[in-house]
Amino acid sequence: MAGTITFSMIKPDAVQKKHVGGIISMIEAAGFTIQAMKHTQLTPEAAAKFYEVHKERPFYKDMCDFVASGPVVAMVLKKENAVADFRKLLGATNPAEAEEGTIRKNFGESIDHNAVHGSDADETAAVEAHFFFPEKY
Amino acid sequence: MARDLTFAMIKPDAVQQKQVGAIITMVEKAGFTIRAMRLTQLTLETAGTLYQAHKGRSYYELMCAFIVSGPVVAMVLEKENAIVEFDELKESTRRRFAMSRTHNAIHGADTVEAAYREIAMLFLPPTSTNALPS
Repeated sequence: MAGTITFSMIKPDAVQKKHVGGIISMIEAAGFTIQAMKHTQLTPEAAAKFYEVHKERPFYKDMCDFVASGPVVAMVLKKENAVADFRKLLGATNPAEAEEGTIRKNFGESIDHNAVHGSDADETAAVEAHFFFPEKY
Repeated sequence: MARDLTFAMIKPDAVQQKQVGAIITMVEKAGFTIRAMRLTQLTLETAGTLYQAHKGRSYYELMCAFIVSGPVVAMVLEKENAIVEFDELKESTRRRFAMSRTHNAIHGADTVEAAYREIAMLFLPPTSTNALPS
């Protein structure tokens, strides 16, 4: 059975451009309940740990630098089938390929600055929720 | 510097009605920068500090009971002349979202002293929902 939570993070590009409200509105309208939320900034070390699974990829360093470049809004979202439904709401990783009505279509600038992160599986959601909210998850 | 920060909180009615995004949009459009923000649930003790100016009034107990009834979104906002500017925004937010005098969607600090007291109360010391991840 699919899990009921996913982890999401509004990235520095979208926070800086004041899209936090617009993105949360889309999340609320899609039926998610915000279970945990905080505005925070990742240190370079924390960013490296958060993206550890991508360590061998060529884009790893840029990804880490970017996510640590300014404040983010970390959230744990609740809904039936949370991970898959949230990825649908996010749209394609590359905003240029994202469908109408998705978060990345509305707010993503590029494949590197694509506004919002969403967990890719239930196990990842649990790990990421714990990373940001260790006392709760 | 002090006049440039204020404390604001989206109340349980608006969180429950899924108006968090709409209210933050109003805050961002009004030119405020979010310096800190977290979803939390207040204890009665915190509610007592928040509403200390209202102690002894007939509505005090109801006000406290309501504010602890569900999650809230606490925020530290920055803008020049923040307290006065937020007061205007609070009024327009309430015109749009308030359901009653108690269930009125948003709180804003009314003085610099209150703003500092409320910021300290909700954001110091670090807790799991405001600490940096490590």
